[in-house]
Amino acid sequence: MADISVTATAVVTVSGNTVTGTAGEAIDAGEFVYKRASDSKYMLADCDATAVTSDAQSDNVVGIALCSSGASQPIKIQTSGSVTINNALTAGTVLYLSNVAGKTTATYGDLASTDWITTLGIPSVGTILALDINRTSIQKP
Amino acid sequence: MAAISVTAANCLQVTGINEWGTAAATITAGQLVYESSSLTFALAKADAASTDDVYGIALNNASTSQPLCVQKTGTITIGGTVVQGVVYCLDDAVAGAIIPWADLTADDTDYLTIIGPGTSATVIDVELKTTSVVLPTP
Repeated sequence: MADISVTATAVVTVSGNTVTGTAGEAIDAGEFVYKRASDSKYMLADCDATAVTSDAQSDNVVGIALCSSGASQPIKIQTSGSVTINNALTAGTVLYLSNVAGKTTATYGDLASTDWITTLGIPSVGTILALDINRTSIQKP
Repeated sequence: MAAISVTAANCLQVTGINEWGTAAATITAGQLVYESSSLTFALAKADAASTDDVYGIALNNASTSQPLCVQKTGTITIGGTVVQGVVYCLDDAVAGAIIPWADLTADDTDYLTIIGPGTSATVIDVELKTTSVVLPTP
């Protein structure tokens, strides 16, 4: 199965905590981000081993973007609670950070060997994701 | 001349104060917004007294109910071409757009809201002023 298809315009917070900062690259609402250590800007998170080798923080997800921003523009990120996206989720499934930058997958089998596992949360219904971000620091065998 | 053609991805705050709020509609970086009665940001337009009170310039893209950061003071790289020394205003024809003062056309009851002067070919000094002055019809 492919990554979950999120419609950026449908992403709206329901409840929970947010942080604001600066985007380090183009980021769309609904994409997951991490904070780059070198300049504290938010970047698209990625669990791919190559990405993690390039930047050790890339699988350390801070949250989900709530708006769309270009490089060096302000961005707001939800770090906990619940967020509405389009009807693309299956209640009760565990969502993982994808090995495609910023994306989400509900299929563990889609992750490649040596990908670093970060779980993002569990949908409560088809449109609402309850965030529960956990960087396991475990690589897929 | 028409409204400034803004490339949203190139609109960047240089200095000044910004503020987060919630978008009432689809808004892109570089567009002018006012604060609606429901305390959300909507696209400003100079053709009505209810929408001419510019609150700031959008700094990111947002859809309805998404967070929007707006710049209220300071300087901004607007993401389009401006002229140093020319005063820019809220457009009366296109919601959210910025237009040189000389290009305002009072085709009906239009209000003058000043955004600020260009300080280079890319930067505007944000000096928002809602004058509430009705432009004379030619």
